[in-house]
Amino acid sequence: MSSILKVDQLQDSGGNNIITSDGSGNITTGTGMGKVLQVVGTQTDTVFSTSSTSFVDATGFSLSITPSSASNKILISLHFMYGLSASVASACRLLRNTDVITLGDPLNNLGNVYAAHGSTNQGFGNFGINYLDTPNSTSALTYKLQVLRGSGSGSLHINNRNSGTSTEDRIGSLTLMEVSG
Amino acid sequence: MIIDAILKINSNAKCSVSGSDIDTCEITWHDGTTPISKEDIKAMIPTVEQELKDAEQAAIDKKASGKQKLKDLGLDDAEIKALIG
Repeated sequence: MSSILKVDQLQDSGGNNIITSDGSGNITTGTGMGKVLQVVGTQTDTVFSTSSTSFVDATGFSLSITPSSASNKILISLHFMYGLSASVASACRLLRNTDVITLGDPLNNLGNVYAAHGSTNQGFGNFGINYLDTPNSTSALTYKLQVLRGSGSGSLHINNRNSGTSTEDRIGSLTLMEVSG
Repeated sequence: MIIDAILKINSNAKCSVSGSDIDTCEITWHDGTTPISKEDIKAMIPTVEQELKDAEQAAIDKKASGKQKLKDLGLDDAEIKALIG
């Protein structure tokens, strides 16, 4: 015969809460139990192209998450394929709401997507980062990718190498994970 | 391709294109760039496509002619491969 044990709280021998339930199935755990609390993600194969020399939002790379505690962190995973139509330096960055997430670069760039090559040929590659953000917030946070075409001429493409061929469209992704602090 | 057609019409255009179909894409014009009609962009796309094909073919031809010149200098295939892959 099976048994059911009903409790709303587990504590260690020191009286510290390890696991607590509100009785409705919502579980909270004590500190020191590092884990992923929630995951949201988006994928897009929309080709986004720009010749803008100032940062613009890249279509399809925007995602919101609301941390359950201000002490928790957000692990950001961002990946996409890029293409450049000519010899041009380009850059990307991530925003949390309106704040630029900086890694200390004076240009506030998360990284550069860059290819130097002949003026008529294309350059392309893949860009990916994992970044652990500390938003210190329990409000809804919207993370989004911005890109620009830097010096030179031509254009920057996201999710395609600028072949104009839809079979070469690729999928980019943005994933946010709330990790216990 | 769409944005390349735009830049072919106006090389200083600052814009962003979301989507790869001229009929359904969304074009955002930045920094006071005068918008170009989709009809005009559409008309320019075949020219850009041909230029792209020509450029890719030119690159192939250049590689082939470069290899041939190296062969004419006396290099064998293994040596050429070691040099240029």
